[in-house]
Amino acid sequence: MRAAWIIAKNVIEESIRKKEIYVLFILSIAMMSVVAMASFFSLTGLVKYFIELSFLIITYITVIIAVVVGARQLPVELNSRTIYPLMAKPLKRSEFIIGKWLGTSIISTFCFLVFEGIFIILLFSKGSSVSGILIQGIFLHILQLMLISSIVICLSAFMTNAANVTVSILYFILGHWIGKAISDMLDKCGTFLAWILKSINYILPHLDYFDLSKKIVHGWPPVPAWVIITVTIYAVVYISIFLLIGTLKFQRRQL
Amino acid sequence: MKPVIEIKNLHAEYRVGREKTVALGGISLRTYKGEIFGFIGPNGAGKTTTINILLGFMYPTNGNAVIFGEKSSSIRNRFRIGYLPEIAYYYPFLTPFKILTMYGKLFRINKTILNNRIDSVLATVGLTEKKNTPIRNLSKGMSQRLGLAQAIINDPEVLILDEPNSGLDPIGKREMRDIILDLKNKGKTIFFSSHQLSEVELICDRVGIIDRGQILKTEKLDQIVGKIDTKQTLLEDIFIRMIKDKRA
Repeated sequence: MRAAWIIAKNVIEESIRKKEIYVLFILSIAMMSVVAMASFFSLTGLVKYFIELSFLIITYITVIIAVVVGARQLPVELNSRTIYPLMAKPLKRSEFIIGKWLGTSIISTFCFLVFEGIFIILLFSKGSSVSGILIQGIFLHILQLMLISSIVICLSAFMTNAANVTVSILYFILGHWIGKAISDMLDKCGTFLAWILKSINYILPHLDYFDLSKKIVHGWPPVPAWVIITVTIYAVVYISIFLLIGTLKFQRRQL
Repeated sequence: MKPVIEIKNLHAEYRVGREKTVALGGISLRTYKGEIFGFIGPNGAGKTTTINILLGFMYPTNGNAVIFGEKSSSIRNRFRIGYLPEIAYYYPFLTPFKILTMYGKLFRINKTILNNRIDSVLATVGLTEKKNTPIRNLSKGMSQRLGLAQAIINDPEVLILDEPNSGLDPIGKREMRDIILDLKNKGKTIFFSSHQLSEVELICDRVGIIDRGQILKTEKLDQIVGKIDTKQTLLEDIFIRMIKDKRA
């Protein structure tokens, strides 16, 4: 794991030198400020409105960061040929994949925590406080970022940077609706199609399990601990599966 | 004498779409401890493919490559090998010090020892003054020297050099040659791939000539030159004659 950590540190060092993170950073802070100011002039439900939009902005921006950073890792290493001196060192291909995932997860989580910090400061300025469900929402979104990072790193072993970004962003959008959409469709289709849909439903990870935004906006009490533990196990299992698939594909690949 | 590098009946194919191209058609060769083995051939002969298989970047379709008696690309072997790629690109945002630190850590070298070794290898390749300059600001020749520095950071027993003179000016070539000879004097085994025959002639003990994925000859340099011509002949003349005869 030490070798994976060395690779992760390199991902972090490279990412903080790229402009795209700073652009997304400024963009999201600007959007949150606009939302904060707009809600200042409103009278009814201003905090709910602020929380909902801010959480949406933070979620999308941090997922875009995870996808953009993760998708370029393997293709850029191959195109720039930096992978050759690296893979000649005592570094397993599995450690390379895990390191890339770890670095992507750390960068996206760090950005998320900074955004959340700003969000919480703005929340305090509106006289609101940090609720238990908000803490749980933050934790689950970190898990979601780690899961998406594993999907992106896995896909980078199969496809180009641009294709990976497109597929991953699409999956992030659809992944929140997949369970509901499939259960709605099940009643209207034949046995064979229903079987295929059910299989898809079981195979693909449901990103809606990581989304507590509605509950946060409406001030629900924290969800039971067993739910959080189950979702954590769910995320760990899927992350392991995606990293395993990515590693197996990368191990077979001729450099 | 036990060989350090042993390649047996190595076959490799490339697939472009549905078409197969044979890159290596069953090559065999051996490299012994302390020698500089020149692996020479025209462009596209199979030199880099052979090196890629030795390092585990590619998989052979048949045959095997062994270093120190075990699979050449094993993690254990990589602790004992240094590799300089033909076209050396390194993370442009890092400095020579940082990249050597990163590679050194992959070799699990202790921090104090690593810092001393970085100073030592940078001095060897003449990059001490560029220690903290971002790699993007280094010239091609300096990048090639950095390539050699990263190849020797682990004090390897075997060095695999793929076209080490690529992009170097005459002074750089001379310095590279001196470094390689110095490494040989320290007992390192060097697998030297090149198509610059004048360089090979100056430093190699034995040569293997490869063309179109086939080994044409593997012999001591003085024997190869002496056998073919009674007069002293340049390796370049012999090389061209061999390739032409084979292709005729």
